[in-house]
Parts: sequence; C-alpha cells; structure tokens
Amino acid sequence: MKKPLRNQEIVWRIEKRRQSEALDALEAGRDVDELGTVTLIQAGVMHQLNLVGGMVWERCDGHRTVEDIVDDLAGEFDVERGVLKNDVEIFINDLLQKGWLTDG
Amino acid sequence: MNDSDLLDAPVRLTWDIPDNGRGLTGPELLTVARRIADAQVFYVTLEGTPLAHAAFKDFSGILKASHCKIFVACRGTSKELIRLPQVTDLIDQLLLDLSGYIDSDELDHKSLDKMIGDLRALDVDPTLSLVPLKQNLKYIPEIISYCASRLIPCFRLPNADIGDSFRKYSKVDLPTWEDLLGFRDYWVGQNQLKQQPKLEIHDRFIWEIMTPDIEQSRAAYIGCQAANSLGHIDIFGRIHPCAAWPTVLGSLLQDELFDIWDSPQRLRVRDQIAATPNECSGCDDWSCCFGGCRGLSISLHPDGQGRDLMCKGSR
Repeated sequence: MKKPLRNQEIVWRIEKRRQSEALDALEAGRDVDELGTVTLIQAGVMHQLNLVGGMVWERCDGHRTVEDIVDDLAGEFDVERGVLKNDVEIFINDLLQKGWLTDG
Repeated sequence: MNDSDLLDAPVRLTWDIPDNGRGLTGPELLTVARRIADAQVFYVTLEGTPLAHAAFKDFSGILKASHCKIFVACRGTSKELIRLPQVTDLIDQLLLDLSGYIDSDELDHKSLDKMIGDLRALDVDPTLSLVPLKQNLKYIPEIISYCASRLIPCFRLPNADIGDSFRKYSKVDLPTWEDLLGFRDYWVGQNQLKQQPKLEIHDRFIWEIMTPDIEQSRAAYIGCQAANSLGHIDIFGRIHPCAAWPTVLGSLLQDELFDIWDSPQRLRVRDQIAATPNECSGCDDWSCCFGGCRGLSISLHPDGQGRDLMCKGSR
C-alpha cells in the first residue's frame, strides 16, 4: 500500500456540523463511533463514515502515504501510535477491497 | 434529532423551474443556485421547463461549477430544443417526459422516435421519464420494450410531485393499492423482457413489483429520505422536504440551505417520519418499507397517521 487515492467516481462531502458535534463529543469523552461525518455516494447508494474514518478518507488524496496519514491523525487523537496505525491500515485495506480507494 | 437524521444538507434536490415570466427572476434564480452550490448538494434535478428559461445557462453554470450533477427535465418543445445545443455540456442527464407522448390511449412511437432522433443528433442520449399515475401504469411494460428496442439506457419513474406549487395531481390520478395489484398481475404477465434499461424507480411498492430479485439493494433502504438526503425547491425558491410533501421549510432567497437544514421546522419533519403512523402500527412489514412515501401519505392524510396510498396493509 503506497499512497491511497479516493475512487474519483465516488461523490463525497464533509458534514461540517456533524463533524463539529463529533469533535465536541470526543472532547467530552463520549463515544463517537456511530456519528457519521462524511457522506459519500457509491453506485447510487449513500454511505457515511464516522469521524476517524472520515478524517482518513479526507487524506487519501494520492499524495500522502499511510505513514503520513497516521502522523497527521496522531496529532488529532489521544491514542497510542501503534494502535492508530493498525486501525488506519485495517480501514484503508477494507476500502481498497471495496474499490473505494486505489493504491495511488 | 433522531437516528435517521444524518445530514447537514440534502444530497439530492429537485428544483422546479418554469418558463420565463413565472416564479423567480433571473437574479433570484442565481441566488438559489449559489446556495445549493454552497451546500455541496450532489445531484439536482431541474424540473418543469428549465431549458425554456433564458437564465438556464447561468444558474446551471453555478451548479456545474460546484461539481453538482445536473439532471434536466425536457418536454421536447421547440423552445427547449432551440436552447439545448448551447448547454449540452452543462447537462449530465436529460429526462424526456413521456406524458406528452401518450395520446389517445397509446404510446406515440412515431413522435417519440422523431424526438429521440433529434436529441441524438445533438449528441444527447435521453433518459425516459414518466410519473406513474393510475391511468398510465399499463404503458410501463411497453415503454420498457421501447427502451430496449431503441437502446435507451435508462427509464425513470419518479413520484408524483403533488407538493409542487404549479403542477398538481389530484387524488384521482394517484395509483392506489388496488391499481398496484392490477399492475402487478399485468407486469408478471408481460415481464418476459430479456433486455431492460436501467430502471430508476422512486416508489417503494412499484420498485418491489418491478425488481423482485434485487433484495440486496433493498436491504440498504432506510426509509423515507424527505428532509434528510432529499429536498424540493418550488418555483418561488421555497424548500420542501421532498416533491410530494407540501410543508415549506424555508426560503432559499432568505436563508442558506445549511441554516434551513439546521432549523426546527426541518427537524420536526424528521421526527414525524421517525414516528409510526397509526395505520402502520403493528405491521410486520414496517421494517421493509417504513411507511413508504410519507410525503404523499401526509398530503392525503394531514394528521400524519395514514399509510402510503399504494400499500394495502400488512403483506
């Protein structure tokens, strides 16, 4: 896996109000796993990504490596780097398998 | 807020644009277009006679610049066809309204062939579109055969837009569950069509009849999307939960789309959708249809307790 790139056929946007609510909830120590912050439409079906998934998705621009993405997010979340890297890799591999990302 | 309320702004909008002289002025249309673009709406279907409007290129250009996909209704009038060559690059899909091609109890193949030929000469491959009404359900198999024989890629069946401010259908036009039972029998009898265009079917119950094998995509159905991923803008720039829901949520001449989607009026609609209408209470199929088209239901039963006109009851 080199530099993951979003499938250009997928239309997407950040739900800014939702993202702000999720960040506030996270700050307050609440679980935000179920809060969608990025909406995307693939093959006519709407999907949502949660806060962490959405932040990874935003960064899959074909220019950043997985290491770059993990470095970026490590500054945003209070979590051990190895755990974060593992989670990011699992998420990216899942999206590569679904065809939502390509290995840029 | 409830679990089905997911979005800061709609993903798909329908927008009614009449001919010049009615509804919004040119500058007002541009204001509405900018607010749609700012909200990053993915898909906008321009309904009515948008191509006949002198400002078509301007408002569509604003939408296109925001990477919005633009679907454009067309009735095939000369006024529309004159403008079309100048704007084909702005249109992602042209929706040819078939209602004008059903005459004297038959589909007018000759006129339709000519229109499709004219459009193709302009390098536009139309999608055919028909609002399913009581009196035209019987033409659907013939239209699908027609699409296959003319290599029309897509046939679209949108819901009746009874919340619309200038084109309304009466209750006598709308199919009931009895009509749908008849249609189902007719469809099963006719449905030997090997080749089919892609079908875009808005209504949950018609969708079930016409695509009985597509369980997987049906599993992704999470219920009525009015005032969440869907919205409708009328000819005055007022936004509604969907094309079939008469409630006005706000005006895009006055407010940003984001602000309207964050308003109590919008959230009240989502709460209304989350509640089970009395007529659906206890139904085993609630988790399949979530009450079907809630906009049409509310238009016909303003107390919000009725079920979809096309639903017979628990199946």
